[in-house]
Parts: sequence; structure tokens; C-alpha cells
Amino acid sequence: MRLACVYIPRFALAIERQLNPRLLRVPAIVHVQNRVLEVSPELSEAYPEQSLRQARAAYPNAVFVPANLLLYRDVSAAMLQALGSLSPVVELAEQGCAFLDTEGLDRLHPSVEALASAILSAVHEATGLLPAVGIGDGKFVARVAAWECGAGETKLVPQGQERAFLAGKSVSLLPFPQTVIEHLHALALHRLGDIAELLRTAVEAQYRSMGRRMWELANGIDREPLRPHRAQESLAERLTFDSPLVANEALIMASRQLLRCLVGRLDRRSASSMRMQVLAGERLLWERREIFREPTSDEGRMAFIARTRLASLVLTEAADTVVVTLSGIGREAARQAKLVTETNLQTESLAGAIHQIHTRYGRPMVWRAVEVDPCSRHPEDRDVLIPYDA
Amino acid sequence: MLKTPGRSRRPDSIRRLNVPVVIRVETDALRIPLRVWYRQRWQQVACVRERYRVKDRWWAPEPISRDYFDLMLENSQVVTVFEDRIHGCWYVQRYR
Repeated sequence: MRLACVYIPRFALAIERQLNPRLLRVPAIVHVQNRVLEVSPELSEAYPEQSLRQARAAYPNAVFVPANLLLYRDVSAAMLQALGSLSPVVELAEQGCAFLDTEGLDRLHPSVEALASAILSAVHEATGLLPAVGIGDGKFVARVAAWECGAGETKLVPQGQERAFLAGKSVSLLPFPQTVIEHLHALALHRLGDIAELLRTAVEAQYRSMGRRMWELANGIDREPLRPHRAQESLAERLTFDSPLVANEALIMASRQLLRCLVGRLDRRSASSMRMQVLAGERLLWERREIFREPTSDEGRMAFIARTRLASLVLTEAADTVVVTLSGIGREAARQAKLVTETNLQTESLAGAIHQIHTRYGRPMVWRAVEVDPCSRHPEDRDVLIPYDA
Repeated sequence: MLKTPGRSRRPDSIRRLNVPVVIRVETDALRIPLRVWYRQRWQQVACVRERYRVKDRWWAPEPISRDYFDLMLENSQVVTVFEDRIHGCWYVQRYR
């Protein structure tokens, strides 16, 4: 399947630099609480998921910017909407990275380059950011092609040349845990071409199902389907006060009034989540998203949740607008069963029953599988069965 | 499986998974399987999908040297067999 990967390099940092152009000239680190989210390319010792303390110690003069996750989500949504105008099948892989099905788009655009250019301009218009676009067969090839590009660039991998394109790339691009990548390096498999040259069964014998996918990816075969983003219907109502206020009671009253309108618009349908926002002008002061345990159209229940959340809210400045949005609109209300029904009590009684069986027969009768050497070349050395209560 | 020093366990307290099972195989002069006794009957080998050799633990008292064959049988079933080159026996390899 021919796909385009639209990727905004260093997404969080790109947004922060767009908001504050002074960050363009200085090394910056975007962080979420005490974890690093994104770093400037010149800060080679810092990396995502690093603790903030380590990053501060390594680069005391860098600018540390707290992440605005809500803003990043909105920019991703804007990007998705822009891509949706080009193709009906779009998947948001992660924030700042999306896949686009390009099958059939050749009739709308004279060439692939024209399509890539249309993607670039659509995303740029919607977000103000310049993405990198990689086009190839399968998600992996398209993603690697996009990673190779800088912002505003495109890379096209011709059909049938996926293997040659990937051959020289590092195995660290593979979507596997770091331990597996290190294991590959220990086996002197540093490039994807090294894996592609091996027999599929040999790689499979070493890494089982992961080995099959590894070999296929190294050969440019990626059968992972595109999971299209489904546009969800949502209903929103907003109430603007005549004068700004900070009193919680007023916010609660406003939310109740908005919920009454929304439930009327639901028309006997149910909603599965509710988002409450408090704004000053158009600036977001507070936001909370509540996912109901089961879809509901019960105004009283929604109002109770809204009241509980708003009652404990402490505003640092006066707000003038309350927005309530209901989403996940469904035709029927349904009660969802628990995914895991096993409780501690049941586990204990199960263990007790197994112990009794063991005692009665004088030998273990119930077993469980335990991994011993999952990477062994010999399948019989990988797992053993041990008694359940051992 | 490697024998490891240490406290011995009761023989029935640990069982291996995916233990190779002895299988009857007819081969040609190049030791390539022609038919296998599988699921209670002889089955012709339609094609050999892959073959590879595994040599391991040459330093240990029980070295491993196996010729693996990934076979497609006449009923399109895929089965992995190997010849133990040290003892000359054929086994079918199971995967969990």
C-alpha cells in the first residue's frame, strides 16, 4: 500500500519556537514535569525521557520550556484535519506524525511530487509548521523516508526499491525494544541490509514472531494496515459572562445550564465523554476531560461530575467563558462489562484449589509457562513449565 | 538443554516446552527429506522452503549440530524438522 508519512521534526520544540521566536536562537529543552520531552539538535547529551535533573546538569544554560500538551494536541488535530482534506484515509500515529493513504490520489495530482507539495502546503497553512514528507510502500519505509528529510523536504522511495533504500540504514530504526537493538549489534547486525541478507527462518528462529517482522521490515515489507482516524461527532455549548468572575458557584451554574442545552441536543442518544473548559478571552485557563464509565444521557450524572470538578477549582485569574463539549456520541446507551473479572479473592481461591489438587495426586497437575532464555537459538531452551504454585 | 550445577530438583518439577520429537524421515542421497511420517501417515514433501545449519555449544560436553529443514508437505502444511548430525536422528521441531 502506497503511503505518505507526514512528520514534523521535533514537534513540541517546533511549536514552542513558533510561539516564541527567541527560542530559535538558543538551545532549548521542552519538558513535562521532571521528564525531557524534546531537545534542540545541538544538545547532543540530552534526549527524550531523560530526567530533567540530568538535563539541567548537562546543559545549565539551555532554556527549559514547560510543555503545553493541550496545545500540541490541538495542533495535531489541525494537522489531521488538513490531511483529511487531501485523503479520506488518514491515521495519526503520534503527535506530529500521521500517515496518509495515497492510493488513487494520482488522479487528483499530476505527479507524486505535486501530491507531496500539496501535503506540505496544507499542513503549513493549518499549523504554521513545515513537515517532512516520506512516500513509500508501507508504514516503515514511508516513516524512514520522512525521518531522513528536514522540515519542508520530501523523499520518495520508488516501488520495488524499498530493500535497497533500507539496506544502509541502522537497525536502531526498527520499532523494537532497546534490548533487542543492542542484541542485534552484539550479533554484528548493524545495518538493515545485514538482516535482509539472512534467511527469514534463521531470524525467526532467533527472535520468533518478532524475527519475522524484523526480517520483513528489513526487506521493505510492512503489512501493518492503516488505521483510519474516525471523525467523532461532538456537541459543544459555550456561555460568556457579562463580566469576568472567579466564583466557583457561578461556573457550576453555567456548566449546569450548558449541560441542559447539550442533553436536549443529544436527542435520546448518549455521550461517552465530556470536556469542560474555562477561558479568559480566548485563552485557556483550565481544562478537564471526563470519560464516563459508560455512555450516558443522564443530565444529573453529568452535572454531578461537573460540579465535583469545578468545586475544587482554584482560578488564578478571572474567567469570562465556560465551554462544555460532549463527544463519543452513540445511538444507544450501553453498560460495559468489566474486562478483567478476576479479583484477588478469586485468585486466592484458585490457588487454594490448585494446591488441593496437588496434595490429592501427590504431584503437580497444573503448570504455568516461564521464559528462561527467550532469545535462544534452540526453541526447546526458551521456555519451561513449572508447577503453578512453585 | 545445558546441564547446570546447583541444587537438583525433583524430575517432575520442571518440564521443557517445545521439546523436539523423534520423527521418521526418508531422504535422498544428499540427506534432503523426501517424505516424513507425520500425523500417523507418510506424507510427501512438496518443497523445501528453507534449510539452514545450527552449530552451537561446541565447547560443551554435549555440542549441538543440526540441519534444519522448513518443509511444505503435500497437504500444504508447513513443518520444521532437523537432523541431529551428531546422533543421526531426525526430529520435528515444535514452536509454542
